[in-house]
Amino acid sequence: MKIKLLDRIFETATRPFELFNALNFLAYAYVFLADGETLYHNYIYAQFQNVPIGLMVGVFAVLGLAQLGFALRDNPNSNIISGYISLLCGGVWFWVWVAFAAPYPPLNTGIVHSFLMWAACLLCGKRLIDQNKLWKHLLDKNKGA
Amino acid sequence: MTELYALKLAAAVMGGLAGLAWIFHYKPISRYRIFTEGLATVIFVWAILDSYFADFTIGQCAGLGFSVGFLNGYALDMLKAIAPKLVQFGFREWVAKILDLRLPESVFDENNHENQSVLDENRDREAVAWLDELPKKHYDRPTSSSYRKSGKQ
Repeated sequence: MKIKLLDRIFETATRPFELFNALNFLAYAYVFLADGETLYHNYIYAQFQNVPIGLMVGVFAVLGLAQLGFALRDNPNSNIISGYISLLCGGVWFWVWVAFAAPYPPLNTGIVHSFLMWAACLLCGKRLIDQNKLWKHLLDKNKGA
Repeated sequence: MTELYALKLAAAVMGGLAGLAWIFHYKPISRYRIFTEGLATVIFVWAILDSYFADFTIGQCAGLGFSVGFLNGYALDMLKAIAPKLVQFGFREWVAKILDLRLPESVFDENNHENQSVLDENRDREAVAWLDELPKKHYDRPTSSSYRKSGKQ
């Protein structure tokens, strides 16, 4: 049942989600680069002040570019790496979620968005790695035969 | 405070083990790997909670553990995708190379499934020899507990 549901959701949608995730990361990097100073004074972003803006922009930009780069390649190894980067992105979304949830209440869009991205990143990464390990195994087996 | 810390740590560890269990559920995997990765997950989660304990609620601790479990469980697959030979060259061989121990070749020939029982016996003998070697190299130094056991003050 569980496997079937995951098959249904992430059968072919991993690549679009990788692209979407990469663009989200790049957009966050751009937002903090452009208006980070102003945002840091907003109380909803208060928890982000623990991280310097340069580090924040760097992490978002590097992970976003890496995800974008590996999403556009198509072989089992690069897909596994892309899946792992997706899991790492999930870790970053988790930190973003914790930071947005710190001044709760009020409920804000950042909490919901980052939580959904975290869950989707983990599922997408798991799916990518599992599928491509299988693909790689089949390729090796055929090569040997 | 300490009770809350214990609760959060328990939630995080349970989350981590749940993540690992979900990853390892569908495939055959050695007990040794399950044990080491479970241990690594617990240590990682503990380390993160030690530094950022106040920032998390209990539910978030479980989520943190889940993330860390996923990252740990797939770390070896990632390494295998980047550098396949590094993973194929196993830990035992690595240790044997560093300590300059000579081990019989047949033990590591995993494609040779004939005489499996002989191979297993060889492995056992190697393990016993390995355990015999250990005290000479590592436990020679007198420690306070060894003094206490021998009765010297």
